[in-house]
Amino acid sequence: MESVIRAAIVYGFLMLLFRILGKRTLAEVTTFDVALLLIISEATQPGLMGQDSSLMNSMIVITTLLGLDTLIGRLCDRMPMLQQILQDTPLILIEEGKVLQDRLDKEGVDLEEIMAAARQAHGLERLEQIKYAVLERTGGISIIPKQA
Amino acid sequence: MPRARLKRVGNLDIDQHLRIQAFSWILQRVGQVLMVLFVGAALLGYLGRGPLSRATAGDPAYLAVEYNRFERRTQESVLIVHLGPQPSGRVRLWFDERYVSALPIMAVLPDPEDVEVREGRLVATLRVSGASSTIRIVTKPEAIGSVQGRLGILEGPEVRFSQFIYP
Repeated sequence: MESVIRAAIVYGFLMLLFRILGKRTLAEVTTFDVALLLIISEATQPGLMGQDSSLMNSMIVITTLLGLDTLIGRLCDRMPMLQQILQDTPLILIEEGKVLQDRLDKEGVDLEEIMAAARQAHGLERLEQIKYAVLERTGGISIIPKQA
Repeated sequence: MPRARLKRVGNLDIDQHLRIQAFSWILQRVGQVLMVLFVGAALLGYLGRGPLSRATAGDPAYLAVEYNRFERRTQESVLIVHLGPQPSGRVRLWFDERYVSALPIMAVLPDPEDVEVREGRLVATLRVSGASSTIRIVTKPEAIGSVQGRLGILEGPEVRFSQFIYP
């Protein structure tokens, strides 16, 4: 029983933490982020496993984590409001070519990040060529260019 | 994603909800403040060992205990018992059995000459000398939550203290 409770608490804590840190937290994973992820997984391991390093405990923890993830995914499909609260919603950052600066500030996104996404996805050269920029719930930035 | 959830903003069909987004921003600000407070509390010792966790109960002239107010389950911890002069050269120190079952004793330094269970108490007989003595008791918390500690000298003073054990 303790293994299931531990796994559920760690799952909930990580979900809360990443929700607090915002959409952009791990949207673009740098080399340092990879190192940080490895450290986080090392720090999580004793909390998940406790003093029991048996195969059965590992199986219980993994099953609980994947089961919870599937359950929450299903619940989100049925209850859109739950998905919007737990997984955030997409946000328009540039609308009809107009930069919505207050949204950029609140999300901690700068124009250079938007231009980087525009260059990578569409080979755009200037900000004026962007019609819409959307910060997706996954943290990535989608660009819709103006028609030539 | 069901079509019904999408709204049209300009030419864009999107599941954007500014009210939920505003709630998210508030949640993030509050959460970030809580994260700072959480780390601050950990640094100060409110979530385990630290400068504000260490406390002393009792009178060092007779019997006092240094302990951590906040402990973590399964992490070994040290209680330091300060004793006043013991003319007989021996002291019979007792621990409340409920406390010992919540925080099992892993070691007592110096080693007791004898240990017995008597009327819901664990009694350890130790050899001590000098004007004052210090005994170290290593415990390993097993319980979670608030634990009331009680220990004393048989037919002598007793000390009560409180500890909180985090999971």
